[in-house]
This record gives sequence, structure tokens and C-alpha cells, in this order.
Amino acid sequence: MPPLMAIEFLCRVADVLSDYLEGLNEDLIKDNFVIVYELLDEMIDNGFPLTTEPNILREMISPPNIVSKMLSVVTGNSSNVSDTLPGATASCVPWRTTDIKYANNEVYVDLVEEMDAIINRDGVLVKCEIYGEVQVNSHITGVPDLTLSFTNPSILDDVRFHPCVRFRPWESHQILSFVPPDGQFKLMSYRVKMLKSIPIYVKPQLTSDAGTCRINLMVGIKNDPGKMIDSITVQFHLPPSILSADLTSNHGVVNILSNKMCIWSIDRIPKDRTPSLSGTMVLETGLERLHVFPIFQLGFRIQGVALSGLQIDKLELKVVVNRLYKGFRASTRAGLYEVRS
Amino acid sequence: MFPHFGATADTLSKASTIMFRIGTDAHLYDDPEDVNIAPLLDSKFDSEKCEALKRLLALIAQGFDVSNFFPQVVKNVASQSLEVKKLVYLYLLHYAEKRPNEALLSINSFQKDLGDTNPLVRAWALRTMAGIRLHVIAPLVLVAVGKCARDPSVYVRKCAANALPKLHDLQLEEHSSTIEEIVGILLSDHSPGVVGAAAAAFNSVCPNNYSLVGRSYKRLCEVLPDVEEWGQIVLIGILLRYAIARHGLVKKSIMFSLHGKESPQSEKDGLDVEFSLEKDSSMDLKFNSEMASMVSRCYIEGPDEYLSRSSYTNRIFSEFHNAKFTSGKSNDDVKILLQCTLPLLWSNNSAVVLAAAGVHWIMVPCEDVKRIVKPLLFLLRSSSTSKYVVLCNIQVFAKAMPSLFAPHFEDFFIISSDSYQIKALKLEILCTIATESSISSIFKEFQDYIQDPDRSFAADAVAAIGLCAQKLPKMAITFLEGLLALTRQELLTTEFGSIEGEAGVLVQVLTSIKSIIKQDPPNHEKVVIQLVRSLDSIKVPAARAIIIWMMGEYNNLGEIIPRMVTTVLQYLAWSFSSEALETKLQILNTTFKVCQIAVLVLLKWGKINCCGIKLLNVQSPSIEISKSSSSSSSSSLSSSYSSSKLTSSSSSFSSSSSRSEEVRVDDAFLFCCDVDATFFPLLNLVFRKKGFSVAYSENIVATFCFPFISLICLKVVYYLGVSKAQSKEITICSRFKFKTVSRQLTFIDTFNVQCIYLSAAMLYYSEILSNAFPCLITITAEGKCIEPLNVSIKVNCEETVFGLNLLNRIVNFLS
Repeated sequence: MPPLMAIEFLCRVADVLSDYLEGLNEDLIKDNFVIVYELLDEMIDNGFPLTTEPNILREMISPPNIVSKMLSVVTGNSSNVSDTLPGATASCVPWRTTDIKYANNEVYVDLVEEMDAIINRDGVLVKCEIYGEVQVNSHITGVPDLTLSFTNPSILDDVRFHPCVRFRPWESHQILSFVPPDGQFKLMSYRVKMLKSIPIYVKPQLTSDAGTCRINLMVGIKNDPGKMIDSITVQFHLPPSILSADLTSNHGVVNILSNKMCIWSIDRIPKDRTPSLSGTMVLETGLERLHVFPIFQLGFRIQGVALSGLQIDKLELKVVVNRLYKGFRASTRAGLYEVRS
Repeated sequence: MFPHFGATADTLSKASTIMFRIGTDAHLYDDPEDVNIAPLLDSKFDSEKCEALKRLLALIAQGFDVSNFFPQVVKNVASQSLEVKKLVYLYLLHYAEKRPNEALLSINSFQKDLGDTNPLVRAWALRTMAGIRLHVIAPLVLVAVGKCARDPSVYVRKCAANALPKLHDLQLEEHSSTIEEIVGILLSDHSPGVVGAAAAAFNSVCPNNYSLVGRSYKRLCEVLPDVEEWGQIVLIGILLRYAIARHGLVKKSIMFSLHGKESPQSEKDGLDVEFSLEKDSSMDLKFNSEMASMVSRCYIEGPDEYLSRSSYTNRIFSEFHNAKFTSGKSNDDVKILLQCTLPLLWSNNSAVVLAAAGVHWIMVPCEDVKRIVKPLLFLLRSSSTSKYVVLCNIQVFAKAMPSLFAPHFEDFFIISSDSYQIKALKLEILCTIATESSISSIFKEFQDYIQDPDRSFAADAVAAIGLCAQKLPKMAITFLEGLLALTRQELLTTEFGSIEGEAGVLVQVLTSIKSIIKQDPPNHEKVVIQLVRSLDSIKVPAARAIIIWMMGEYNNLGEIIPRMVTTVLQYLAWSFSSEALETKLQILNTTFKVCQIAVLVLLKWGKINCCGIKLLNVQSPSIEISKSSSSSSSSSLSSSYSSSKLTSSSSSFSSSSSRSEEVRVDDAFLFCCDVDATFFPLLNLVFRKKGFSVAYSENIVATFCFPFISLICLKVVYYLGVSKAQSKEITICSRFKFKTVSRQLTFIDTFNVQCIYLSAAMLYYSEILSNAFPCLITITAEGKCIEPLNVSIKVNCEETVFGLNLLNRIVNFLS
């Protein structure tokens, strides 16, 4: 078995379990051990993956939910094993059950982007790219055939698709044509490279002399994306040669964890002043100056904007059902966003 | 996704967990034995049976052996409730091998279930039955699998395919043909879901039965995009192996250009579908064809299998025995495989992408390989474990074809959340793909990495700079400057630098500098000078050792270094006793390279034994001083020189006369010879005569301890003739030479020792020239290592008396 196959499968198991148990940790696994056993039995057979499609699994083994929990408390028993084989196992679209009916047909498309950036010690933007996902949440009657197109597909550097996407229309016209699974799923992921602008700057300054180090960190908006940037955090590991640190900020909260991780939560940048963090750090005895410098990891979230600039042109349903509600959203958050000092 | 484990475990507080646990099976897990399980199993209510089975499952999960419930549990196989069935199956599979007899009791109800109208019941029955793994029931299972392989339900057929490897594991020799037949049936199934599972069965049951694949190759290719992802991975591998087995490597593909060259014939049969190199008789082509056949067989059979049994001849695949090459453009089979795997490069499953990329790497003409680059790079944005696997693969690709990844160097820039292994791999890849256009950005990145808090990674970054400099000599000067700046950094050089991995960085800096200088020593003279000057501030022993080595290696370089040498050596001699072992050894090494005098002659003429020379084993570097046993050692030394009328040189020796009575550690120079085993008999011959014991260690034979005499030194230049890597044999002739020149150039003593090994003959000859009495003495010793040497001596001298005298002495010395 190729190593990646094993790793990919384990990731899939982790995804399914955390989806079922709403999280993944030892206690949750213990508390739901029967479901975990049943799921594993269904997902792997003799060392080879059997059924990994979440939608089919959900029909075979129903996830624990409030209703079933209440039922089990009241009646003392409940079965989470389905009596019939999901129809999808036989269909040519194995990710979708055939007989779905909704009173309200709706489909939501989310562009969820993560920005990866590296700013080197000279303050130069070395690398900036977007890793994005098109997440679709569809509730449509029957077997709908959807097409989704972008106004500027040429900016996409590379793409990966959910199995439901047909390759031909994308190859020839960059159009996504697909029969969606029911509910929430990741339609495609994409990468946009060589971006030139970042929304937030972080300016670290470290000066050290005679066994102490002064740190000054400023965070501000560089290119306003037009929407509110919130959940801004700056994290960094204090270098191992630092004995103690006394850090204060004029905005937000600074926390130093026991593993020398320092977290500065800013949330939103106030209008009247630039958030800055400053303080002194005491170096190990015998050390005059700091020689290794921390790397600052920036976190932020912007609702309503896809920083890559990718735009959805239109979403169409081939066989028109009465009243299809369509919704589009976009958001960007920081991915691996690093500022070296 | 895995980080969830830690994070949520921490954040979920106790109080909220209690709330969450209501309605789950937590109470069963916490105390599975708080009620009597046995009566529950016999209950007539399904819910009670269920509870009992869950309790048993909890006990299994906690590591208890509950196999004693087996008979009671087996009875419940017949239950109509699917949940009870499922739980019973879980239990059965766990203990069936342990309780085979009782397990047989369940077979009847399995067979009944196989005829059930619900496909889910049929599939589960088959899965469990095949999972019991008992030889006794294997024929029954085989019949069941055969029946299920023709079942109307896709899911049941898929489970039938999955049951085949389980049967195969039981090694049923007599049924193997039936099993393979079923594999064939399932492979040609019209549902893609079944084909994927059948491919997996094919791989474990009969991976080399290509006729099964050949029957429906085209259809398998076409159905590939619709097969579920796990099946795709396996099926891609099978189709690739089949295509290579059937058609050989593709001409113009990277695999082909790496392992074989196009024969002259290939030009005319450009449109030919297949062609074989069999008819070519030239040696070169034969070799190529062998290589190619080896490579393709590796692919056909899988490398592990192929290498493990490469010794015996291949019977089964004689039809594929000859290396074949095919043209990718004209071969339909290859074309369709490439076409059908192309969209898989966009798959959501990284393993599928990698498998598809592998097909293109092997099959596609060189110029089209670049289509796999972007999908591969996209895989880097997945979990860190798969990132590592992908990077390993990229590294292999990049080594074979650096130009592929060269434009994408930014993707290999390191982020702090990478694990150390990933960082190291990325560095290696960056070195491989660096080009003249990208190197400046890469170098800038490297400089950032050097300040990384992870010091071992910083050291790796420094090493990477050294590697890049060797690859791109044009940049060497820039790199050197950067590295030199590092050595000047206060922290690296101070006392503090010896702890906390800083030492490692410094040593790596110097190693990189060394490797850069080695490429073009004349241009980097100043660097050596600078480093030698910084000796005083650099305290890390390994770093000092490297600088001292460079000092010795380049002692003839340029004009300034030769003038510095004496001072530096004096400095080193005085600090010798406080140095670490490795530094001491390098000081010795350098001294030999720099100062030259014939130790053999000295030994004889100077009556060294009186001076208290002792041979030491270098393994223990402490200097042993033996005081001269006989009196007036140095006076006899100088007198012997004057008696041999080499008066002008005696001045250098006489300076020691005042010291030699009281020899101290600091005054000692250690001399060692870097000689190997071939030289050992010779040294032994010389020294044993004098009553010395010669210690032998792997690289260094002997260490002599001399009183500190201003400039009496020894040079042993030893050229080990592992000349060029082109020839695979170790060289036949190695030569080493004693060139002995005293400072004042009053006489030149040259010993040339030629030694021929493998033929085990040894040739030794020496010339001694004297200014005062011009004469040439040639000593030749010939013989095999283990046998006594034949020594012949010739002296050419104008003054006959002196010549005869000298000859006499040498003969005395040697005999």
C-alpha cells in the first residue's frame, strides 16, 4: 500500500470521527465506543478502505444527535444501525442519495480562503499565496445538476476537485459541472500564487544590549480590504535564551504560556491608535545579545472578502425546480502567515 | 486534523463532558460489569442483548479477554435485529481464531443470511464469514464468494471482492485458480465501485496475472475516473505495471533517458509500435538493454520482490524478458492510460494525485513531464505527515530533473511550523533546484534560516549554502562573505558559543567555507588568512581543528601564508597541551605538512634513541616524555652531525642543547605519520631495528615525541591514490613521498616511496642530497608486504671517502 494512501485514509477516519462526535479526543472516543467500532468496521475491511463517503456512512450508521440521545435516555434503547443499504452505494453518483425531497430548495456557496505569507527579516514579502476552498451547502430535491463558473478563473494556479466534478467542462471552459452531495461539502480547493499585497503589517523591532532585550511590535492595516478585519492575533515563541519577559501592550491582551509561547490578542485594530506591544526581556546570564530571533505568526479573519480576488460569476441548475434560493459568501483568514525578525 | 486531539482534550472541561455524555454509551464503557452479562445475552429482548454485547465490546476495548462468552454470543448470530447482528459480528471476528470449534456453529446462520433479501445482511454475512479465517470453512466461503460475485447488489459484489484477499491469505493452493477466476469476473464488472475493490484483490491475489488485465485494459482505463478513490490508487498501479510489461519503457520518457539511450535504429522506426533491442549486438546497447529490462522488471514485479529474488531466472515472465521500448505517441495503450490518469491529477485525494503523477513521470515524454509539477506542489498544503511523503517523492523527481521544480523554488521556503525532517528535506530540494536566477533569493532565505531558534536546522542551512556554492561556483564569493560574517559574530566565537548548538553552527560554517575554498584555493587566499587570524577568538575545538587543517593544506598558497606559517606553528605549539584531542591531531597534521625533515636519517645520525624518543599510540594523545637515558644526548646529536661534516645544518640542532636535559610537555612537538597498512611493514623494519615498538592504528601508525628543537620537523606526504571515481577498482599504484627539506636548505633529503599494492610489491627509494658534499643516495627497497624487503643502496658522490662513509652508515642503519 502506498504510504500516502495510509496517511490519507487515517486523515479521512479522523475527519469522519470528528464529524460524528463533534470533536475528537480520548473521552469522546470512549463515550461513543460502540459507534467508533461500527464506523471503523464499515470504513475498513481487511486493511482496505471500504466505505469512506461520509454521506453513505451517515445513512448506514446514524450519528449521535440530541434526538437519539434523548430517546435513549427515555426509552433506554436506540439503534443507530440502519436496516437498509443506502441507495447511493448502487448509483453512479455514490456521494448522493437518490430520493431527497425538500420543501425549500437552497444552495449556499462559500469561498473560504487562507492566506499564506512569509515576510523575511528585511521586511520584504517573500511569498504570498492564497489557499482557498469552495464550500457548498446544498439542499435540493432530486438529482440536481449544477454548473458554477467564475469571472476570473485564470488567476487560479492549480485546483483539486471533489469526485463529483466533471473534468471535461473544466478542461475546456473552466466551468464546474457537478451533481452535488446533499448537505455541506468541499467542492474544490484552489491555489492562487504570487500575490503582491497583504492586508496587515507587523513590524517587529528587537534590540539587545548588556543582557537585556527590548522588543517593540507594531501591527496595523496595510492595504484595507474594505471589510472589517477581526480576530487579529500575534503569536511567537520567546527564544530559549530568554529568562523572563515583561511585555505590555496599548491594546489587546498579552499572554505568555508556560512553554514560552507568547500570544497577543488584538481582535480589531482601533481607529485612534496603532496597537503596539513593547517590553523588556532578560537574557540568560553570560549572554550579551540575542542571537536567535523569534518568528511571529499572525492570525486574522476578514468576512465578506476573498483576498485572492476570485469571483463567482453564476450558479445554474440544469433542470429548474420551483424557487431555488442561492446564497454566496466569502471570507479570508490567515493561514501560515509568518513575519520573521 | 490531528491537532484536534490535543487541543480539544485540553479545552473540554470536566463539567461540560458530563453533559455531553448523557445519552451516549459512556456508562457502559465506564463500568461494563456492573450487571451480570450472561443472562442479558439470553434475554428475549433485542435491546437487552444489545446492551450485553456493548458491554462485551467495552471489555474488549479495555483489553480484557471475554472469549468465555463465545458460545452464548454465537447463538445470537441468528438474531433478526441488524444492530445485534453487527455487534455479534464484531465480537466474532475478534475471537473466531481463538475459538475455532465454536465459531463453526455460526456457519449455518451465515449461510442462511447469504440468501437473505436484504443486501446489507448478505454483505455482512459474507464479510464476517470470510473474516473468520478457518481452513475448515474455506471451501464454503469460496462458494459463497463465487455466488456473491454475481449478486445483483453492487455492495455485495464489492464485499465479495474484498473477501478474496482474506481467502488468499489462507493459502489454499488447490483453489487458487478459482480465486483468480473470480478476480477476473469482478475486474470486468460493469460497476466502477466493484472494479476498485477487485483491483485491490488482484494486487494481493495474483499481482502478475496480466492476462486478466489485458482482457479489459481499455475498459479499465476508461472506468478509472469513476472508480472510488482508494480503488483508483491501486488500479493506477496495476495499469502502469501492465503497460510496462506489455510495451516496455516509453521512448523519450525520463525513465528511458535515464536508464537507456536511444539506439541508432530508433530513428527509422519512429512509427513502429514496439521494438526490441535484442538484435543489437554492441556492448553498450546490451548494457543499456539490461539496465532497461532491470528497471522495467522492477516496475512490473515491484522493487522488493524483484530485488529479493534477482538471482534466479525469471520463468513466468519470459514473454516480457527482453527489454522493450515503445513510443508514447503511437502506442494506444500508453496513450489511453495517460489520457485517463490526467484528470486524476486534480483529485482531492493526495495518494491518487501522487499515483497519477507517477504514471506520467514514467510514461510521458520528457517535455510533458512538467504537468505533474503543480499538482504535486499543491499536495504540500496537506497534513504534515503526507507533506513529508510528498516531499520525499519530489526530492527524487527533482534530483532526476532539477529544471522541473526550479521555477517553483518559493514553494520550498520553510515555515516555522514545519517539523525538522520536513525542513531538512526542503533544504535539500532547494539545493538541488537552485539555479543562477533563483539563487540570490534562495540565499537570502538561507540567511534568515541561520537565525532560526532551532540551531540544528540553522547548521543545516549553513551546510546547504556550502552545497549551493559547489553547484554554482559563480556565487561562491558572495556565499563566502556571508559565511565569514558569521564567523565574526561575537556570539559564535566567544566562550558561550561552545554550548547550545552554537558550536554546531560554527563548525558547519567552517566546513562550508572549507568546501568552497577547496574548489578554487588560489582565489580564496585571503579567506584562509582571515580565518587563521581569528584562531585566537574561536574556541570550539572542532572549528579550530578545521582552521588548522586549512592552514596546513594551503601552506604554500600565495605569498602571505608561507610567511605566517612559522608564527602560527609556534603559537600552536605553545597552546598544544591545552587543546582538545581533535585539535591536537590537526596541529600535528599541519606540522607535518609544513615542516620537513627526514626522520629516518635523523634517527640514525642523531642517535635519537639516546635522546629519548618514544613511539606513542595516537589514541592516547597525552604526551609521554621519556627523559634521555644516556647522558649528553644532544651533544652527541650535534657532534654526530659535525662528524658527518654537514656542519652548516648543525646550528639548527644545537639550539636545543640547552633544553634537552629537561624536556617538558610544552616543549614537545608531536609527530605522527599518516600512513596506512602498506607503509607499516617498512616503518616496522626501520624502527624495530632500533628497539622501538611501533604501534599501529587504523590511520596513524606512530607518533614520535621529540624535544622541542627549533625547526626539526617531519613531513610525510602521503598520497593515497584513490585517483578517480571513474574506475571502479581501487588504484593499483599508490605513491607516497618523503620530501624532507630543512629550513636552511643546507641539505635536501628526499625519500620517495612507491608502493604498489594489490600486487603486494613495494618499492622504496630515497635520495639524499647534500650541499656541502654533493651526493645522491638512492635507497631502494623492494618486496612484498609480509616478506623481508630487498634493499639496495646507491651513493653518487664526488668525494669518495665521504661517500663510502655515508654508504657504510646507511647500510648499518638499515641492517
